[in-house]
Amino acid sequence: MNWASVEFFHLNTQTKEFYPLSPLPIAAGFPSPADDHREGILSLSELLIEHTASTVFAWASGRSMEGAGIYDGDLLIIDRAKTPKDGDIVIAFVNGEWTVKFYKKQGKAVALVSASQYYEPILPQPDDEWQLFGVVTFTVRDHGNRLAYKRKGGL
Amino acid sequence: MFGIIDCNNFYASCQRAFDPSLEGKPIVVLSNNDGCVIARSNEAKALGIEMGTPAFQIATYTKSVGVQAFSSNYTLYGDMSDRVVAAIASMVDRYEVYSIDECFVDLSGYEHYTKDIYEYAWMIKERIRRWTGIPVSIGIATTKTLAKVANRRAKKNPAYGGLYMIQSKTEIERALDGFDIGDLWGIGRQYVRKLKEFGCKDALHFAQQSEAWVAKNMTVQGLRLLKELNGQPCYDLELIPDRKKAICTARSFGELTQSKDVVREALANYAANCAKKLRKEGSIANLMTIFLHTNQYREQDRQYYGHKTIHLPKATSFTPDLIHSAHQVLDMLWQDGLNFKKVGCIVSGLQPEEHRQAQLFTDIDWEKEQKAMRALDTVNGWYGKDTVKVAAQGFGRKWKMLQERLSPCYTTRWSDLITAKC
Repeated sequence: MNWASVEFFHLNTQTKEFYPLSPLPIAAGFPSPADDHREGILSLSELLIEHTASTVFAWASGRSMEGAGIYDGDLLIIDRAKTPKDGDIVIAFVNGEWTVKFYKKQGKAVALVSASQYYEPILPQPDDEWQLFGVVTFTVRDHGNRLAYKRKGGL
Repeated sequence: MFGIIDCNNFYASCQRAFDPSLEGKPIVVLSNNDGCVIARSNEAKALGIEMGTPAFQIATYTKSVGVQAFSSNYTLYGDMSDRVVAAIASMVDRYEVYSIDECFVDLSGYEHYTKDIYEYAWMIKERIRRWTGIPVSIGIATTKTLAKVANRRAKKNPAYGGLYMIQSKTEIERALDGFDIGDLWGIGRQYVRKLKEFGCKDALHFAQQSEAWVAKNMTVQGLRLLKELNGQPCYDLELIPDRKKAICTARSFGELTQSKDVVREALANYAANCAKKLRKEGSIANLMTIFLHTNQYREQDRQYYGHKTIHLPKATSFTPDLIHSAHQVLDMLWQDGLNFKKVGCIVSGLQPEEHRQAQLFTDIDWEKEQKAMRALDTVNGWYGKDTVKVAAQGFGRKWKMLQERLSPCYTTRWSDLITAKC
Protein backbone atom coordinates (compact mmCIF):
# COMPACT_ATOMS: atom_id res chain seq x y z
CA MET A 1 0.00 0.00 0.00
CA ASN A 2 1.22 3.46 -0.83
CA TRP A 3 0.79 5.64 2.28
CA ALA A 4 0.99 8.85 0.32
CA SER A 5 -2.38 8.11 -1.21
CA VAL A 6 -4.22 7.40 2.00
CA GLU A 7 -7.09 9.74 2.73
CA PHE A 8 -8.95 9.95 5.99
CA PHE A 9 -12.69 10.20 6.28
CA HIS A 10 -15.04 10.86 9.12
CA LEU A 11 -18.23 8.92 9.39
CA ASN A 12 -21.08 11.02 10.65
CA THR A 13 -23.15 8.45 12.49
CA GLN A 14 -26.36 10.41 12.21
CA THR A 15 -26.37 11.11 8.49
CA LYS A 16 -24.36 7.97 7.67
CA GLU A 17 -22.24 10.12 5.43
CA PHE A 18 -18.51 10.03 5.00
CA TYR A 19 -16.72 13.28 4.59
CA PRO A 20 -13.06 13.92 3.99
CA LEU A 21 -10.93 15.37 6.73
CA SER A 22 -9.42 18.66 5.87
CA PRO A 23 -5.70 18.74 6.54
CA LEU A 24 -5.26 20.13 10.02
CA PRO A 25 -2.17 21.96 11.14
CA ILE A 26 -1.20 19.49 13.81
CA ALA A 27 2.46 18.92 14.47
CA ALA A 28 2.09 15.15 14.67
CA GLY A 29 0.58 15.19 11.23
CA PHE A 30 -2.28 13.02 12.33
CA PRO A 31 -5.83 14.40 12.73
CA SER A 32 -6.99 14.66 16.29
CA PRO A 33 -9.52 11.96 17.12
CA ALA A 34 -11.18 14.51 19.42
CA ASP A 35 -12.10 16.93 16.65
CA ASP A 36 -15.54 15.49 16.28
CA HIS A 37 -16.26 15.70 19.95
CA ARG A 38 -15.47 19.29 20.79
CA GLU A 39 -18.15 21.07 22.80
CA GLY A 40 -16.66 24.51 23.35
CA ILE A 41 -14.98 25.65 26.55
CA LEU A 42 -16.82 25.86 29.84
CA SER A 43 -17.91 29.35 30.73
CA LEU A 44 -17.87 30.48 34.34
CA SER A 45 -20.25 33.30 33.47
CA GLU A 46 -22.77 30.79 32.21
CA LEU A 47 -22.41 28.81 35.42
CA LEU A 48 -22.49 31.69 37.88
CA ILE A 49 -24.72 34.29 36.25
CA GLU A 50 -28.39 33.76 35.65
CA HIS A 51 -29.35 37.23 34.45
CA THR A 52 -26.52 39.37 33.09
CA ALA A 53 -28.73 42.46 33.19
CA SER A 54 -29.36 42.23 36.92
CA THR A 55 -25.99 40.88 38.04
CA VAL A 56 -23.47 43.16 39.71
CA PHE A 57 -20.06 42.38 41.20
CA ALA A 58 -18.60 43.80 44.39
CA TRP A 59 -15.52 43.33 46.54
CA ALA A 60 -15.92 42.05 50.09
CA SER A 61 -14.01 43.83 52.83
CA GLY A 62 -13.87 42.83 56.49
CA ARG A 63 -14.21 39.72 58.63
CA SER A 64 -17.78 39.61 59.93
CA MET A 65 -18.93 37.04 57.36
CA GLU A 66 -16.07 34.57 57.66
CA GLY A 67 -18.48 32.21 59.41
CA ALA A 68 -20.45 32.14 56.16
CA GLY A 69 -17.32 31.55 54.11
CA ILE A 70 -16.90 35.10 52.86
CA TYR A 71 -13.40 36.47 53.36
CA ASP A 72 -11.76 39.82 52.91
CA GLY A 73 -11.01 40.41 49.23
CA ASP A 74 -13.52 37.90 47.86
CA LEU A 75 -15.47 38.79 44.76
CA LEU A 76 -19.21 38.82 45.39
CA ILE A 77 -21.66 37.98 42.65
CA ILE A 78 -24.98 39.67 43.31
CA ASP A 79 -28.27 39.10 41.56
CA ARG A 80 -30.71 41.99 41.93
CA ALA A 81 -33.53 40.02 40.31
CA LYS A 82 -33.79 37.62 43.24
CA THR A 83 -36.15 38.20 46.14
CA PRO A 84 -34.26 37.52 49.38
CA LYS A 85 -35.51 34.65 51.50
CA ASP A 86 -34.90 34.22 55.20
CA GLY A 87 -31.28 33.20 55.67
CA ASP A 88 -30.00 34.43 52.29
CA ILE A 89 -26.84 36.48 52.16
CA VAL A 90 -27.66 39.96 50.88
CA ILE A 91 -25.98 43.23 50.15
CA ALA A 92 -27.63 46.38 51.47
CA PHE A 93 -26.89 50.07 51.65
CA VAL A 94 -27.24 51.14 55.28
CA ASN A 95 -26.44 54.62 56.56
CA GLY A 96 -24.10 55.51 53.77
CA GLU A 97 -22.34 52.16 53.46
CA TRP A 98 -22.60 48.94 51.47
CA THR A 99 -22.74 45.94 53.76
CA VAL A 100 -22.94 42.14 53.39
CA LYS A 101 -25.09 40.29 55.90
CA PHE A 102 -27.52 37.45 56.44
CA TYR A 103 -31.10 38.47 55.74
CA LYS A 104 -33.22 37.38 58.71
CA LYS A 105 -36.93 37.90 59.07
CA GLN A 106 -38.11 38.78 62.55
CA GLY A 107 -41.86 38.85 62.29
CA LYS A 108 -42.53 41.71 59.93
CA ALA A 109 -39.19 43.37 60.55
CA VAL A 110 -35.90 42.54 58.92
CA ALA A 111 -32.56 42.09 60.61
CA LEU A 112 -29.17 42.10 58.91
CA VAL A 113 -27.07 39.63 60.83
CA SER A 114 -23.35 38.90 60.72
CA ALA A 115 -21.86 35.43 60.74
CA SER A 116 -19.88 36.36 63.83
CA GLN A 117 -20.88 36.90 67.44
CA TYR A 118 -18.57 39.89 67.67
CA TYR A 119 -20.76 42.00 65.39
CA GLU A 120 -24.15 43.29 66.47
CA PRO A 121 -27.08 42.64 64.10
CA ILE A 122 -28.32 45.68 62.18
CA LEU A 123 -32.00 46.37 62.74
CA PRO A 124 -32.91 49.06 60.21
CA GLN A 125 -35.28 51.59 61.74
CA PRO A 126 -38.00 53.33 59.73
CA ASP A 127 -36.04 56.60 59.54
CA ASP A 128 -32.74 54.90 58.74
CA GLU A 129 -31.55 55.46 55.24
CA TRP A 130 -31.33 51.93 53.95
CA GLN A 131 -31.87 50.00 50.76
CA LEU A 132 -31.74 46.31 49.98
CA PHE A 133 -29.61 45.91 46.85
CA GLY A 134 -29.57 42.24 45.94
CA VAL A 135 -28.87 38.65 46.89
CA VAL A 136 -25.31 37.31 46.94
CA THR A 137 -25.47 34.18 44.80
CA PHE A 138 -21.79 33.22 44.62
CA THR A 139 -18.43 34.34 45.90
CA VAL A 140 -15.10 33.90 44.19
CA ARG A 141 -12.02 33.44 46.34
CA ASP A 142 -8.52 33.78 45.03
CA HIS A 143 -5.85 31.40 46.27
CA GLY A 144 -3.13 33.44 44.66
CA ASN A 145 -3.13 37.21 44.38
CA ARG A 146 -4.67 37.90 41.00
CA LEU A 147 -7.95 39.29 42.34
CA ALA A 148 -6.17 41.73 44.63
CA TYR A 149 -4.13 42.83 41.65
CA LYS A 150 -7.23 43.30 39.49
CA ARG A 151 -8.88 45.22 42.26
CA LYS A 152 -6.02 47.68 42.28
CA GLY A 153 -6.48 48.22 38.56
CA GLY A 154 -3.77 45.87 37.32
CA LEU A 155 -3.95 44.12 33.97
CA MET B 1 -50.45 48.85 21.23
CA PHE B 2 -47.16 50.72 21.34
CA GLY B 3 -45.29 51.69 24.46
CA ILE B 4 -42.41 54.06 24.89
CA ILE B 5 -40.19 53.30 27.88
CA ASP B 6 -38.22 56.34 28.93
CA CYS B 7 -35.63 56.32 31.73
CA ASN B 8 -36.20 59.15 34.19
CA ASN B 9 -33.27 61.58 34.31
CA PHE B 10 -31.18 58.71 32.98
CA TYR B 11 -27.65 59.99 33.63
CA ALA B 12 -28.51 61.17 37.12
CA SER B 13 -30.27 57.86 37.84
CA CYS B 14 -27.19 55.91 36.73
CA GLN B 15 -25.10 57.88 39.21
CA ARG B 16 -27.58 57.04 41.94
CA ALA B 17 -27.91 53.36 41.11
CA PHE B 18 -24.57 52.60 42.76
CA ASP B 19 -24.58 55.38 45.29
CA PRO B 20 -27.95 55.47 47.06
CA SER B 21 -26.70 58.28 49.31
CA LEU B 22 -27.45 60.55 46.33
CA GLU B 23 -31.13 59.68 46.56
CA GLY B 24 -33.23 62.80 47.02
CA LYS B 25 -30.23 65.10 46.50
CA PRO B 26 -29.76 67.52 43.63
CA ILE B 27 -27.26 66.18 41.11
CA VAL B 28 -26.11 67.38 37.71
CA VAL B 29 -24.00 65.74 35.01
CA LEU B 30 -21.53 67.84 33.03
CA SER B 31 -20.73 67.68 29.33
CA ASN B 32 -17.46 66.34 27.94
CA ASN B 33 -14.63 68.44 29.30
CA ASP B 34 -16.79 69.38 32.28
CA GLY B 35 -18.11 72.36 30.32
CA CYS B 36 -21.77 72.73 31.20
CA VAL B 37 -24.80 70.92 32.60
CA ILE B 38 -26.27 68.28 30.28
CA ALA B 39 -28.45 66.35 32.74
CA ARG B 40 -30.21 67.12 35.98
CA SER B 41 -32.04 65.23 38.69
CA ASN B 42 -35.53 66.45 39.57
CA GLU B 43 -34.11 68.13 42.66
CA ALA B 44 -31.63 70.07 40.53
CA LYS B 45 -34.43 71.09 38.16
CA ALA B 46 -36.44 72.30 41.13
CA LEU B 47 -33.53 74.56 42.15
CA GLY B 48 -33.86 76.25 38.79
CA ILE B 49 -30.59 74.93 37.35
CA GLU B 50 -30.99 75.10 33.58
CA MET B 51 -29.51 72.84 30.92
CA GLY B 52 -26.32 74.40 29.61
CA THR B 53 -25.43 76.15 32.87
CA PRO B 54 -21.63 76.54 32.85
CA ALA B 55 -19.81 74.30 35.29
CA PHE B 56 -18.20 77.18 37.17
CA GLN B 57 -21.65 78.46 38.13
CA ILE B 58 -22.51 75.04 39.54
CA ALA B 59 -19.65 75.44 42.02
CA THR B 60 -21.65 78.15 43.80
CA TYR B 61 -24.69 75.85 44.02
CA THR B 62 -22.45 73.13 45.42
CA LYS B 63 -21.40 75.41 48.26
CA SER B 64 -24.81 76.83 49.04
CA VAL B 65 -27.23 73.93 48.53
CA GLY B 66 -25.01 70.87 48.11
CA VAL B 67 -25.52 70.19 44.43
CA GLN B 68 -23.29 67.28 43.37
CA ALA B 69 -21.74 67.55 39.92
CA PHE B 70 -20.38 64.60 37.93
CA SER B 71 -18.33 64.39 34.76
CA SER B 72 -20.27 62.43 32.17
CA ASN B 73 -19.41 58.75 32.47
CA TYR B 74 -20.56 57.26 29.18
CA THR B 75 -18.98 53.91 30.00
CA LEU B 76 -21.38 53.58 32.92
CA TYR B 77 -24.39 55.02 31.07
CA GLY B 78 -23.81 52.76 28.07
CA ASP B 79 -23.63 49.64 30.19
CA MET B 80 -26.71 50.61 32.23
CA SER B 81 -28.59 51.30 29.00
CA ASP B 82 -27.74 47.78 27.78
CA ARG B 83 -29.01 46.38 31.06
CA VAL B 84 -32.30 48.25 30.77
CA VAL B 85 -32.75 46.96 27.23
CA ALA B 86 -31.96 43.40 28.36
CA ALA B 87 -34.60 43.68 31.08
CA ILE B 88 -37.11 44.89 28.46
CA ALA B 89 -36.10 42.11 26.06
CA SER B 90 -36.81 39.56 28.78
CA MET B 91 -40.46 40.63 28.67
CA VAL B 92 -41.27 41.68 25.09
CA ASP B 93 -40.28 40.21 21.73
CA ARG B 94 -40.52 43.34 19.62
CA TYR B 95 -38.66 46.43 20.76
CA GLU B 96 -36.81 49.30 19.14
CA VAL B 97 -33.94 50.91 21.01
CA TYR B 98 -34.61 54.53 20.17
CA SER B 99 -31.87 56.27 22.12
CA ILE B 100 -29.59 55.65 25.08
CA ASP B 101 -32.54 56.11 27.45
CA GLU B 102 -35.64 55.38 25.36
CA CYS B 103 -37.08 52.21 23.90
CA PHE B 104 -40.27 51.62 21.92
CA VAL B 105 -42.03 48.31 22.54
CA ASP B 106 -44.89 46.50 20.87
CA LEU B 107 -47.23 45.44 23.68
CA SER B 108 -49.90 43.84 21.51
CA GLY B 109 -50.90 40.43 22.75
CA TYR B 110 -49.40 40.71 26.20
CA GLU B 111 -52.79 41.38 27.75
CA HIS B 112 -53.24 37.61 27.68
CA TYR B 113 -50.47 37.18 30.23
CA THR B 114 -51.99 39.51 32.78
CA LYS B 115 -55.24 41.31 33.45
CA ASP B 116 -54.51 43.82 30.71
CA ILE B 117 -51.74 45.67 28.88
CA TYR B 118 -51.54 48.29 31.59
CA GLU B 119 -50.67 45.68 34.18
CA TYR B 120 -48.08 44.05 31.93
CA ALA B 121 -46.42 47.43 31.38
CA TRP B 122 -46.41 47.94 35.11
CA MET B 123 -44.52 44.66 35.51
CA ILE B 124 -41.95 45.78 32.92
CA LYS B 125 -41.47 49.02 34.81
CA GLU B 126 -41.00 47.21 38.11
CA ARG B 127 -38.58 44.71 36.59
CA ILE B 128 -36.36 47.44 35.14
CA ARG B 129 -36.32 49.24 38.46
CA ARG B 130 -35.50 46.11 40.35
CA TRP B 131 -32.87 44.68 38.00
CA THR B 132 -31.04 47.90 37.26
CA GLY B 133 -32.16 50.48 39.82
CA ILE B 134 -33.24 52.81 37.02
CA PRO B 135 -36.73 54.36 37.30
CA VAL B 136 -38.65 54.60 34.03
CA SER B 137 -41.86 56.15 32.73
CA ILE B 138 -44.02 54.35 30.21
CA GLY B 139 -46.57 55.82 27.81
CA ILE B 140 -48.92 53.50 25.95
CA ALA B 141 -51.21 54.16 22.98
CA THR B 142 -52.18 52.81 19.57
CA THR B 143 -49.52 54.87 17.79
CA LYS B 144 -45.91 55.78 18.55
CA THR B 145 -46.72 59.50 18.45
CA LEU B 146 -49.54 59.15 20.98
CA ALA B 147 -47.39 56.86 23.13
CA LYS B 148 -44.90 59.73 23.35
CA VAL B 149 -47.69 62.07 24.39
CA ALA B 150 -48.83 59.55 27.01
CA ASN B 151 -45.29 59.28 28.30
CA ARG B 152 -45.08 63.00 28.84
CA ARG B 153 -48.29 62.84 30.82
CA ALA B 154 -46.94 59.94 32.88
CA LYS B 155 -43.90 62.02 33.74
CA LYS B 156 -45.66 65.30 34.44
CA ASN B 157 -48.29 64.08 36.86
CA PRO B 158 -46.93 62.10 39.85
CA ALA B 159 -50.42 60.71 40.48
CA TYR B 160 -50.03 58.38 37.48
CA GLY B 161 -47.03 56.69 39.08
CA GLY B 162 -45.00 56.88 35.87
CA LEU B 163 -47.39 54.96 33.64
CA TYR B 164 -50.11 56.37 31.42
CA MET B 165 -52.20 54.74 28.73
CA ILE B 166 -54.28 56.47 26.07
CA GLN B 167 -57.02 54.25 24.67
CA SER B 168 -60.34 55.85 23.86
CA LYS B 169 -61.15 58.81 21.65
CA THR B 170 -61.94 60.90 24.74
CA GLU B 171 -58.60 60.02 26.29
CA ILE B 172 -56.83 61.11 23.11
CA GLU B 173 -58.66 64.44 23.23
CA ARG B 174 -57.91 64.95 26.89
CA ALA B 175 -54.23 64.24 26.34
CA LEU B 176 -53.87 66.51 23.31
CA ASP B 177 -55.82 69.40 24.80
CA GLY B 178 -53.28 72.05 25.70
CA PHE B 179 -50.37 69.90 24.48
CA ASP B 180 -47.76 72.11 22.83
CA ILE B 181 -47.31 71.30 19.14
CA GLY B 182 -43.57 71.78 19.54
CA ASP B 183 -43.45 68.88 22.00
CA LEU B 184 -44.89 66.38 19.52
CA TRP B 185 -42.62 63.55 18.43
CA GLY B 186 -40.68 64.19 15.25
CA ILE B 187 -42.15 67.57 14.30
CA GLY B 188 -39.70 70.02 12.78
CA ARG B 189 -39.24 73.58 14.00
CA GLN B 190 -40.38 74.85 10.59
CA TYR B 191 -43.75 73.16 10.93
CA VAL B 192 -44.24 74.32 14.47
CA ARG B 193 -43.84 77.90 13.30
CA LYS B 194 -46.04 77.33 10.27
CA LEU B 195 -48.83 75.71 12.27
CA LYS B 196 -48.74 78.47 14.83
CA GLU B 197 -49.06 80.99 12.00
CA PHE B 198 -52.13 79.10 10.83
CA GLY B 199 -53.53 79.51 14.31
CA CYS B 200 -53.16 75.95 15.60
CA LYS B 201 -53.04 76.56 19.32
CA ASP B 202 -52.30 73.03 20.50
CA ALA B 203 -51.98 69.41 19.37
CA LEU B 204 -55.72 68.85 19.70
CA HIS B 205 -56.47 71.75 17.40
CA PHE B 206 -54.10 70.29 14.83
CA ALA B 207 -55.52 66.77 15.20
CA GLN B 208 -58.96 68.14 14.34
CA GLN B 209 -57.88 69.54 10.96
CA SER B 210 -59.05 67.77 7.83
CA GLU B 211 -56.71 65.53 5.87
CA ALA B 212 -57.24 67.72 2.82
CA TRP B 213 -56.12 70.82 4.68
CA VAL B 214 -53.02 69.11 6.04
CA ALA B 215 -52.18 67.57 2.66
CA LYS B 216 -52.38 71.03 1.10
CA ASN B 217 -50.28 72.83 3.70
CA MET B 218 -47.81 70.17 4.78
CA THR B 219 -45.98 67.23 3.26
CA VAL B 220 -46.79 63.56 3.65
CA GLN B 221 -45.01 63.69 6.99
CA GLY B 222 -47.65 66.10 8.26
CA LEU B 223 -50.38 63.80 7.09
CA ARG B 224 -48.83 60.90 8.94
CA LEU B 225 -48.62 63.01 12.07
CA LEU B 226 -52.32 63.83 11.75
CA LYS B 227 -53.26 60.16 11.41
CA GLU B 228 -51.01 59.09 14.24
CA LEU B 229 -52.58 61.71 16.51
CA ASN B 230 -55.99 60.31 15.64
CA GLY B 231 -54.94 56.84 16.65
CA GLN B 232 -54.14 55.38 13.22
CA PRO B 233 -50.62 53.93 13.26
CA CYS B 234 -48.34 55.02 10.42
CA TYR B 235 -45.04 54.09 11.97
CA ASP B 236 -44.07 50.59 13.03
CA LEU B 237 -41.08 49.69 15.15
CA GLU B 238 -37.81 49.94 13.29
CA LEU B 239 -36.40 46.59 14.19
CA ILE B 240 -33.32 46.45 12.02
CA PRO B 241 -31.00 49.28 12.86
CA ASP B 242 -29.74 51.12 9.81
CA ARG B 243 -26.13 50.61 9.05
CA LYS B 244 -24.55 53.78 10.29
CA LYS B 245 -23.94 56.34 7.61
CA ALA B 246 -20.88 57.81 9.25
CA ILE B 247 -18.80 57.39 12.36
CA CYS B 248 -17.35 60.40 14.10
CA THR B 249 -14.92 60.84 16.95
CA ALA B 250 -14.08 64.37 18.02
CA ARG B 251 -13.39 66.06 21.31
CA SER B 252 -12.44 69.47 22.55
CA PHE B 253 -8.99 69.67 24.08
CA GLY B 254 -8.70 69.98 27.83
CA GLU B 255 -6.96 73.28 27.18
CA LEU B 256 -6.37 75.23 23.98
CA THR B 257 -3.23 74.17 22.13
CA GLN B 258 -0.87 75.47 19.47
CA SER B 259 1.22 72.31 19.41
CA LYS B 260 0.97 70.19 16.30
CA ASP B 261 2.32 67.17 18.18
CA VAL B 262 -0.52 67.36 20.66
CA VAL B 263 -3.12 67.66 17.89
CA ARG B 264 -1.50 64.83 15.89
CA GLU B 265 -1.59 62.54 18.86
CA ALA B 266 -5.19 63.35 19.69
CA LEU B 267 -6.21 62.83 16.07
CA ALA B 268 -4.39 59.47 15.94
CA ASN B 269 -6.50 58.35 18.86
CA TYR B 270 -9.74 59.52 17.27
CA ALA B 271 -8.87 57.81 13.98
CA ALA B 272 -8.04 54.64 15.94
CA ASN B 273 -11.38 54.92 17.69
CA CYS B 274 -13.22 55.28 14.36
CA ALA B 275 -11.34 52.21 13.10
CA LYS B 276 -12.39 50.22 16.13
CA LYS B 277 -16.03 51.24 15.70
CA LEU B 278 -15.90 50.32 12.01
CA ARG B 279 -14.61 46.85 12.81
CA LYS B 280 -17.17 46.39 15.54
CA GLU B 281 -19.99 46.77 13.08
CA GLY B 282 -18.19 44.99 10.27
CA SER B 283 -17.84 48.02 8.02
CA ILE B 284 -15.09 49.62 6.02
CA ALA B 285 -14.93 53.30 5.07
CA ASN B 286 -14.25 54.94 1.73
CA LEU B 287 -14.10 58.56 2.84
CA MET B 288 -12.46 60.44 5.65
CA THR B 289 -13.15 63.96 6.87
CA ILE B 290 -10.87 65.77 9.28
CA PHE B 291 -11.84 69.02 10.91
CA LEU B 292 -9.83 71.33 13.10
CA HIS B 293 -10.99 74.55 14.67
CA THR B 294 -10.33 77.28 17.17
CA ASN B 295 -12.58 78.51 19.97
CA GLN B 296 -15.17 80.80 18.40
CA TYR B 297 -16.01 82.36 21.75
CA ARG B 298 -12.51 83.75 22.21
CA GLU B 299 -12.81 86.99 20.33
CA GLN B 300 -9.21 87.90 21.06
CA ASP B 301 -8.03 84.85 19.03
CA ARG B 302 -7.65 84.59 15.29
CA GLN B 303 -10.36 82.21 14.17
CA TYR B 304 -10.00 79.21 11.93
CA TYR B 305 -12.35 76.45 10.91
CA GLY B 306 -10.69 73.94 8.61
CA HIS B 307 -12.11 70.75 7.23
CA LYS B 308 -11.25 68.46 4.38
CA THR B 309 -12.65 65.24 3.01
CA ILE B 310 -10.58 62.71 1.09
CA HIS B 311 -11.14 59.43 -0.66
CA LEU B 312 -9.17 56.80 1.18
CA PRO B 313 -6.65 54.94 -1.03
CA LYS B 314 -8.68 51.81 -0.31
CA ALA B 315 -11.81 51.17 1.69
CA THR B 316 -10.55 50.07 5.08
CA SER B 317 -10.98 49.64 8.80
CA PHE B 318 -7.26 49.08 9.38
CA THR B 319 -6.10 51.34 12.21
CA PRO B 320 -2.61 52.21 10.91
CA ASP B 321 -3.99 53.14 7.46
CA LEU B 322 -6.66 55.39 8.94
CA ILE B 323 -4.18 57.11 11.24
CA HIS B 324 -1.79 57.61 8.36
CA SER B 325 -4.48 59.20 6.19
CA ALA B 326 -5.72 61.34 9.05
CA HIS B 327 -2.21 62.73 9.56
CA GLN B 328 -1.87 63.48 5.86
CA VAL B 329 -5.08 65.50 5.93
CA LEU B 330 -3.98 67.25 9.10
CA ASP B 331 -0.80 68.37 7.32
CA MET B 332 -2.99 70.02 4.70
CA LEU B 333 -5.17 71.76 7.26
CA TRP B 334 -2.50 72.81 9.73
CA GLN B 335 -1.72 76.45 10.44
CA ASP B 336 0.87 77.58 12.93
CA GLY B 337 0.23 79.97 15.76
CA LEU B 338 -3.46 79.38 16.33
CA ASN B 339 -5.10 78.36 19.59
CA PHE B 340 -6.86 75.16 18.60
CA LYS B 341 -9.89 73.99 20.48
CA LYS B 342 -11.00 70.82 18.77
CA VAL B 343 -10.01 68.22 16.22
CA GLY B 344 -12.14 65.41 14.87
CA CYS B 345 -12.27 62.53 12.47
CA ILE B 346 -15.31 61.36 10.51
CA VAL B 347 -15.31 58.24 8.37
CA SER B 348 -18.12 57.81 5.88
CA GLY B 349 -19.02 56.04 2.67
CA LEU B 350 -19.38 52.91 4.74
CA GLN B 351 -19.88 49.49 3.26
CA PRO B 352 -19.96 46.00 4.72
CA GLU B 353 -16.46 44.57 4.83
CA GLU B 354 -17.52 41.49 2.90
CA HIS B 355 -18.45 43.74 -0.04
CA ARG B 356 -14.85 44.81 -0.27
CA GLN B 357 -13.91 45.11 -3.89
CA ALA B 358 -11.05 43.13 -5.27
CA GLN B 359 -8.06 45.22 -4.48
CA LEU B 360 -4.97 45.94 -6.40
CA PHE B 361 -3.14 44.54 -3.44
CA THR B 362 -3.32 40.85 -2.84
CA ASP B 363 -5.78 39.33 -0.44
CA ILE B 364 -2.90 38.18 1.70
CA ASP B 365 -2.40 41.78 2.81
CA TRP B 366 -6.05 42.03 3.66
CA GLU B 367 -5.98 38.82 5.66
CA LYS B 368 -2.89 39.91 7.53
CA GLU B 369 -4.47 43.23 8.37
CA GLN B 370 -7.63 41.54 9.55
CA LYS B 371 -5.69 39.12 11.70
CA ALA B 372 -3.68 41.90 13.27
CA MET B 373 -6.78 43.95 14.00
CA ARG B 374 -8.61 40.98 15.44
CA ALA B 375 -5.67 40.36 17.76
CA LEU B 376 -5.60 44.05 18.71
CA ASP B 377 -9.32 44.14 19.47
CA THR B 378 -9.15 40.90 21.44
CA VAL B 379 -6.26 42.03 23.61
CA ASN B 380 -7.89 45.40 24.24
CA GLY B 381 -11.18 43.68 24.95
CA TRP B 382 -9.50 41.56 27.61
CA TYR B 383 -7.14 43.98 29.19
CA GLY B 384 -8.87 47.29 28.68
CA LYS B 385 -8.99 50.05 26.13
CA ASP B 386 -5.68 50.99 24.45
CA THR B 387 -3.60 48.32 26.18
CA VAL B 388 -2.09 47.79 22.75
CA LYS B 389 -2.03 50.76 20.43
CA VAL B 390 -0.28 52.32 17.49
CA ALA B 391 2.75 54.36 18.54
CA ALA B 392 1.29 57.49 16.92
CA GLN B 393 -1.43 57.42 19.58
CA GLY B 394 1.30 58.34 22.02
CA PHE B 395 1.46 58.45 25.79
CA GLY B 396 1.27 62.19 26.34
CA ARG B 397 -2.47 62.65 26.61
CA LYS B 398 -2.04 66.41 26.90
CA TRP B 399 -5.12 66.66 24.72
CA LYS B 400 -7.19 64.55 27.07
CA MET B 401 -10.61 65.59 28.24
CA LEU B 402 -11.07 67.17 31.60
CA GLN B 403 -13.02 64.75 33.74
CA GLU B 404 -12.36 65.97 37.20
CA ARG B 405 -15.52 64.64 38.71
CA LEU B 406 -15.63 61.26 37.07
CA SER B 407 -17.54 58.62 38.98
CA PRO B 408 -16.40 54.97 39.02
CA CYS B 409 -17.29 52.62 36.16
CA TYR B 410 -19.12 50.39 38.63
CA THR B 411 -20.10 47.68 36.15
CA THR B 412 -17.22 47.51 33.70
CA ARG B 413 -13.94 47.84 35.62
CA TRP B 414 -12.62 45.50 38.30
CA SER B 415 -10.96 48.38 40.09
CA ASP B 416 -14.22 50.38 40.18
CA LEU B 417 -16.59 47.82 41.73
CA ILE B 418 -18.37 48.80 44.89
CA THR B 419 -16.81 47.54 48.11
CA ALA B 420 -19.16 45.96 50.60
CA LYS B 421 -18.24 45.80 54.27
CA CYS B 422 -18.64 42.62 56.15
